[in-house]
Amino acid sequence: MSIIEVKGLTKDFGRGRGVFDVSFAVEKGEVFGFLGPNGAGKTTTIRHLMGFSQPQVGETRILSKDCWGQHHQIKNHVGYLPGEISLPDHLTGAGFIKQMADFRKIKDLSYANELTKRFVLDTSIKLKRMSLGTKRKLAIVTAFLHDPDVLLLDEPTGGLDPLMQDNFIQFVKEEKKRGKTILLSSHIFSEVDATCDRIAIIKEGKLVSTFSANELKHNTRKEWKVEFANREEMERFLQKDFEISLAKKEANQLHIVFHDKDTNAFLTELSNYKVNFFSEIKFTLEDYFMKFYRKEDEPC
Amino acid sequence: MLNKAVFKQTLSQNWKLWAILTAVTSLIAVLIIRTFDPHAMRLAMMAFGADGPPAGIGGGPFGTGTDRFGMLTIPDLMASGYYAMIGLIMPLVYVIITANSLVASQIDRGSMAYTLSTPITRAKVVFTQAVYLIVALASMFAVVTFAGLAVSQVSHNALWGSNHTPDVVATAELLGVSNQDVEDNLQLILNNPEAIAVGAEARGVSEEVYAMYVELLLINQAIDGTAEIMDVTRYEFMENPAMVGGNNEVAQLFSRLLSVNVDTVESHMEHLVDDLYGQSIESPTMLLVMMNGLDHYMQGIEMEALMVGADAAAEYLGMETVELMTQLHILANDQNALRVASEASGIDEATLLAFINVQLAEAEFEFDQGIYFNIGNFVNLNVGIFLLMFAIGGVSFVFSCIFNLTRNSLALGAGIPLGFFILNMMANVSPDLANLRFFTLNTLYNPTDITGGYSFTPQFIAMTAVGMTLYLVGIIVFKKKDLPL
Ligand SMILES: Nc1ncnc2c1ncn2[C@@H]1O[C@H](COP(=O)(O)OP(=O)(O)O)[C@@H](O)[C@H]1O
Ligand SMILES: [Mg+2]
Repeated sequence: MSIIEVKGLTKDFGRGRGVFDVSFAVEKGEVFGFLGPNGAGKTTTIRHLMGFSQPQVGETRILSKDCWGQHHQIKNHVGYLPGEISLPDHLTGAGFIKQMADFRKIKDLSYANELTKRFVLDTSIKLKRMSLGTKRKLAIVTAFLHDPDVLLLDEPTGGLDPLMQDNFIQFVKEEKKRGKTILLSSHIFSEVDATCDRIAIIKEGKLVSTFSANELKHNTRKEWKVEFANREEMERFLQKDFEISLAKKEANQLHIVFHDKDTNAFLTELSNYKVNFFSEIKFTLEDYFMKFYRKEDEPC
Repeated sequence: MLNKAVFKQTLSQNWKLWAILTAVTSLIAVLIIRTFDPHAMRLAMMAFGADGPPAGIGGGPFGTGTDRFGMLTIPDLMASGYYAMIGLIMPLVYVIITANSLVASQIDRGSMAYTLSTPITRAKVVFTQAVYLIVALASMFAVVTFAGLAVSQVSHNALWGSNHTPDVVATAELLGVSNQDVEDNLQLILNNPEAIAVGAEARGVSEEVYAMYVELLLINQAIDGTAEIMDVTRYEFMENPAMVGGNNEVAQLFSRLLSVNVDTVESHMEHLVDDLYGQSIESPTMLLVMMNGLDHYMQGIEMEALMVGADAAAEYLGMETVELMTQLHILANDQNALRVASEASGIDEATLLAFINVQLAEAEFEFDQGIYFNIGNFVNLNVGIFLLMFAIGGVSFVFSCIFNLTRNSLALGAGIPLGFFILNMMANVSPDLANLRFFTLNTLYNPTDITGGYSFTPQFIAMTAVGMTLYLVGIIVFKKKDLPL
């Protein structure tokens, strides 16, 4: 049984905005990356999972409970880190943690204190005077306060410095090891790459691809960059039957794509040419992502 | 339904604004009550009340329509001034700001996301916010009420303390009876010249004025008694005195209290009913004047002539006119000054003196009445304004629940209550615009009706019903809507 289920979720805000027929499921112990640029519909989806919005079509479930109708039954098990951090002004950090603990009927603040230390958070400052990064850290602490099994993290590292981002990524990995189920929305490839088991790419409210991180890492299609000694050599190679993804003719460079099983054939052929150098172009999540986002913008 | 943790959080976030506005509102009420002075009110009345019958015989300090029967007490003053303006504005501002900050602003800013990410249901959160608003309003007016009662006691001994005026105490001692006996049977004083002298001295007025004052008290008792016999309120009787017709019981009452025989009273009553037909008794003084036949004397008195006389007498005495008006006994006791006034005004001395004595007797009477503090009226004024704010708060609250943006929530949640306030003012100011009162909730709270003895229970019930409906609608809307958190 999946822990988080989104089935055919549609919310149409008009003028092409919203989310449309979004479906995915997150299994127990999985970190699921929800990747898309600003305005793609990540937050909208998460709002439905939090029971803040009612689906127009479809449904969202966490732990088999309907997120709209039974939202309060789920929340003991769910930690939420909102994408936009807006905390009440009048409290100090410690006051806010205490308040959230009160709301959750938590008496023992030792875990909260652990988290505070881990994220190097000064809780004595008034929320009004906190920097965005500090507020984010505070929001992280309160999202994990009750050690929930399910986490909905909406762009969790915004405003954090690089060190703290690493700290957070490390923390997410540890939580995953402890069996937590995590939905992490982001537009930052590195953090998704570093933490997620599976990834969904959302574009203009529609899921365009859902794949496992392993598929990407064990990709058997490779791309190589080769610089030939001169133009003639390059032109000669172009006669051959290889897939060329990019040709920088002024630099005598070609990007050549082939399957792992054709490696020998490629090397044999290449040995017939004068070559300055060749190197592998690593296929990254970013490249994969861009494939979807480039299609319309710049046809190649 | 109430969630204590949420309530606590809301309290810690909102108590400052509550404290400030409650303090300011109470302080203004306290200052107004502290400076309350029946004599000064009388003077104001004489300055403003130049229309209609001679000043003092009917007409309130703010003309007609506010204080209807010439007896201005602290609750009356509060009703016509304070609770119509400043006492209304302050809580209005409070309720508008708070209703918005309790719901819409927290959605707009996003801070509600944290509350709603816990197992506390939306319904509990919004219900708790509504309860906070209502409790805050109730405690605000509880503080104002308490402050008002306290200052009335401290500054005016209005609530408890000496119940008996000094003259009652003095005459009771002279006559060897209890204070209460004297109050129950004031004829004991009138029948005894020595008692009149002692009482007059205790009050610091002349014997003539004192006797007239006691008669005024008796007439006042008779009015109360008549209302009781007719089974109407005092005000209903005074509005339509003709209702007594030839009622024998009323005649008996007047006869006993005023110590005149029944036949005389009955013939008086006939005249009175004829004279008053379709008219109201503006004040007990009016009845006194009529019953003593002084009205024929005074009818011809022109306010302008009086003022000319007052000016001349003041000049003669080397005083300011205003000063003289507050100390009319000087004029009454100074033959020469009286003659100067008479010559200047063209009013003969006897009439002038009678007029002054009536004024002085009425001043004494009003002083007692002014100090008399109707706790019930004062409390009802505050219960009423609480209910009005409860209902108007419901308007602000419902829009706070409907809209996700502070901007929109305030546009209607502040706009409509302010509109109500303005419509109500316009309806009160101009009779042409009176129909506007049907478009504002403020109509349901009419402070002068509350102190004036008119029925206000239906309005109170209406305000309660309107408020409850609005809060309920707000809660339901908030439960069902999408939140951009
Ligand atoms: N309540 C709403 N009303 C109208 N449009 C909305 C609302 N919420 C989000 N949108 C629009 O829907 C799109 C998706 O927004 P969002 O889910 O916040 O994107 P993301 O979190 O991926 O950046 C955006 O174009 C946004 O402007
Ligand atoms: Mg977002």
